[in-house]
Amino acid sequence: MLWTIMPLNVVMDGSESHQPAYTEIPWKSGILLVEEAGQNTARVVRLLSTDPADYLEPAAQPGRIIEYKNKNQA
Amino acid sequence: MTQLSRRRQRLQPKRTQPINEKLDTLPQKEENVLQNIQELGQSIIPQQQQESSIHSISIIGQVEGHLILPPQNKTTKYEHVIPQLVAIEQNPKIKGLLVLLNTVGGDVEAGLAIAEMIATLSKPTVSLVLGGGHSIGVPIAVSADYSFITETATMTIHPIRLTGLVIGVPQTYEYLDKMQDRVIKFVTKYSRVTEDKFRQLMFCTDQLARDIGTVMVGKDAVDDGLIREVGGLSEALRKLQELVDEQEAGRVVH
Repeated sequence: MLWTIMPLNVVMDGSESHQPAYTEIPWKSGILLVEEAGQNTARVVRLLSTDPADYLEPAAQPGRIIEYKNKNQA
Repeated sequence: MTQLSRRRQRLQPKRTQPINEKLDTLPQKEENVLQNIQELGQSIIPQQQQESSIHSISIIGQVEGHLILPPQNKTTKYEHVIPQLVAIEQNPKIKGLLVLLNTVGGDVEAGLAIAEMIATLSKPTVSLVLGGGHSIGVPIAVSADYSFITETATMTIHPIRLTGLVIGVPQTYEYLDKMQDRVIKFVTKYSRVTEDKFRQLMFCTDQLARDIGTVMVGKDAVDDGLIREVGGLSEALRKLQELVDEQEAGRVVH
């Protein structure tokens, strides 16, 4: 339930066309949920970990662009 | 190779260049281009000499709850903020927390969850409302041990309405009323505003042109007892340091 000063149609605009494709990557003691962001890069969407200290890591913050190497290309 | 060392290399070319370096330049250039693109829009924060004992969390845009909001929204993800607060509570190196708010509101449950976590943190907390701390930003702002608002920042208090989305739950007036009561209870518990005053602000009819509610700018929020003081970054940090020193001296904060 949203309690916001923004009109709901502005907030929810594009919710139907937004169909994200997420990939899970093992990271430290947890899993990083990432979204493709172009050439061999991915944007961190969410971290799933039971170690609270992992959530303070800059590398695991949502929105962070990470680079990955495709095993086939390497 | 770090960005800095690469830059240094560009600025100070080695006098004796190995022959094979020329061969290396091409792939390195490509890598540079990629890195340049990646770093667009990122600000360079000056490196600190030592690790800061104070951490800050910014609550920005929409507080995202049980629904992933469409990508044009800037959101604060509660599932990330909550474990961060756990880590802050646990880490002995972290002495205090500064909460920076510039939010337009968002999910009631997620916002209350963050607010409850901040309120029950044993370490000193100070909140600072910058541009705006509207709707669900209000309980988050008051949850800290001490709260500041900048002179120009605004806070909007308005009723929780039927525009909210509840999946699979028919919304009744009683349901909305209950949600509202949870927020009012929290705000009155953690700030000096009384329940009557807060309800009066929430249902005020002559403040907003097309809606009921109240917009409070800077000092108004302090006068009504919602926020403790008008101030900016230096005041907030000074207060936080003061609370940290008090706690270290063995006195109880709150």
